[in-house]
Order: sequence, then structure tokens, then C-alpha cells
Amino acid sequence: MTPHRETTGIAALDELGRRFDAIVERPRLRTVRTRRWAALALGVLALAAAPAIASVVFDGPERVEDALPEVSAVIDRNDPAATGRALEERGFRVRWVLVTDNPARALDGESPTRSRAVAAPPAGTRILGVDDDGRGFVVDPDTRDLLIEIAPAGSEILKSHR
Amino acid sequence: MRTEQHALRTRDGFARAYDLHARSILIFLARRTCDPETALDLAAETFAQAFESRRRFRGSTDEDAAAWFFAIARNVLSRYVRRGAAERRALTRLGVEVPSLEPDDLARVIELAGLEDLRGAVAREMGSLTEEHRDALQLRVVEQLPYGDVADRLAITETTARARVSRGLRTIGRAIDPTTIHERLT
Repeated sequence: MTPHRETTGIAALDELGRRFDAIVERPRLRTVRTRRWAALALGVLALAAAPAIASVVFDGPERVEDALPEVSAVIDRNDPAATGRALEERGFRVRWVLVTDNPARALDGESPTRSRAVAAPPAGTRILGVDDDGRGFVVDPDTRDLLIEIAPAGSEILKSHR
Repeated sequence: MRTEQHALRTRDGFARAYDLHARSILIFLARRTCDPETALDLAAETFAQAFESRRRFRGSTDEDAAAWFFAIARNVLSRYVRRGAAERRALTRLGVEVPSLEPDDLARVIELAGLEDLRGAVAREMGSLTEEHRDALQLRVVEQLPYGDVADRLAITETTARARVSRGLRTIGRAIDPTTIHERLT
């Protein structure tokens, strides 16, 4: 087991960390349980009897680049608008989220970034990342809904994504 | 596309990321709920959702990981504000119970989040609102009435009720902006 340190200075938060450690130690069991709901939804009722098969079925691709090569092929990180047009031509629906540096980032308890939905990529932005817009734990290879995060050129968050 | 990936996607990496960011996430949520117990519930759900989705994390640095945790925390907070109750779906799926905050913890979170100053700032801003905005906020946010009922109680249209609540919240939001608070405290 990962030894959990008392690092946060808040006992309840450290205890919560230890409880997450216990989960981390048995991810397969939990993952299969979680997937059981998905399996039921799909009518795969034999899941309980065949966990190995379930693992194959539900161990989906992790990133859009792995799942959707046609998406990866048209991404131009320096030109979000052209990327959006190319994706829409291929039948994808795109939702844009603008990520900016948080001026309060240096303060404790503040996010490095702020984000908000925008209708279209503003000029001077670059692509930070492309993801499946669904809420699954893995990328859905059949998804037609994408979320593209963009950030102003020169922003701190973009530097770490180069 | 990047090739380097953050260790958050590994077992030990997640524990390390928790140690690194859990306190900041708790403070972030405490400042926005003004309630340490609720903030702990929301922080726990944030990390439960992050744990379940960790394979989708695409960042490569600790700062990327922080931005990702905060993005999840914002969504969790947003659902809390809309529903008026902390969601525990991911915690339930994982079977994680949220520990209680003992008095020492409570005092520590209040101190770290600057809640005393924050509550003072919110009270001041509430006092500066016009009566119509304050009444709308009271009914919608404190009494948690649907917008239709707020409109009926104030004899205005629902659209106007929404506008008054929105304007009131914007004013309060400016008061609790961390940069503003920080400037006031320094």
C-alpha cells in the first residue's frame, strides 16, 4: 500500500487521502464494478460470469488521438478555427472552452486557470487539447461530440502543453 | 500531440497528486461555499470523479494536474449550487466515506480560506445591494425558492427575477474574488 503522509495539515483531508489509497490498491475490482453498470445498459448480462471479457470490452481508448485518428489528423494547434471547420466537415460537433491564466493563481486555493464556454475560438488562441465531450471514463470511439480547449497564445497554461 | 504523460495516471501518481492539491481544492471550495463541511464533501466528490476519470487526463505537469482538478471541482461546485446539495455519486460508486471535520480542522479551514474576512466582505456587499436585489437573492439563494415563486413573491416577471438574482450574485461574486479579497487584506 502507498504509505499516506500527513501532508495537508488537515486531519480529515489526510484521512480522506488514506481512504483513496485503499481504493487505489484495488482498482480492478472497482473498475469492473463500475463497468457493470455500463454493461447492464448495453444488455451484456453475462458480465458477472465473464469479467475478463468485460475488461476487454470496456477497456476503451484513453485519448482522442488513440480512438479517432481522423480527428488527430486534422488538428492544427495553431489554427483552432480551421480545425473546427475541418472537424465539422467530417460530421463532428464541436464545443469550445476558452482557458485563461487565473490572475490569482499564486494564491493558495486558487486554480492556475479559469475557463468558460465560447461560441467560436477568438483570434490569437491556440488549441490546448481535444477531448470526447462525453462523461465516460474512456473515450467513446463512436463519439461525434468533441470538446476543444483553447488558450490565448503566450498564456502560461499553453507553455506547459507545448 | 504530446508524448509525455503525467504520473497522475498511475496509482502512486494519483496519491502524490492528491497530497499536492487536496488542500488547495478544499480551500477553493470553502471560499465559495463559506462552509468547511460542505467544502470537504465537494472536495471528496471532486477527487472521486478525478480518480474515476484519471485515464482521460492528458496533462504532463503538476500545474496541468492542478488545472484539471480545479476544472472538476468547478463542475462539482456548479452542480451543488444548482441542486442545493452535494453530489456523492462517484464517492458512492467507489465506496468512500467522507470523514468528519473535527473542531481543530474546522478552525484550520476557516483560517486557511480566510472565511471570517470573506463572510465580512459578503455581508458588506449584501448591505450595499438595493432592496430589490437583496430580496431576490434572499428568496432564491437563501430560501432556495424556484424562480417562478421568487417572481410571484416579488410581483415581478420570472425574467426580471432572474436578472435581479444574477446582478446580485455578480456583485457578491466581485466581493469574493480572491484577487479583490487579497488586495483588501494586504
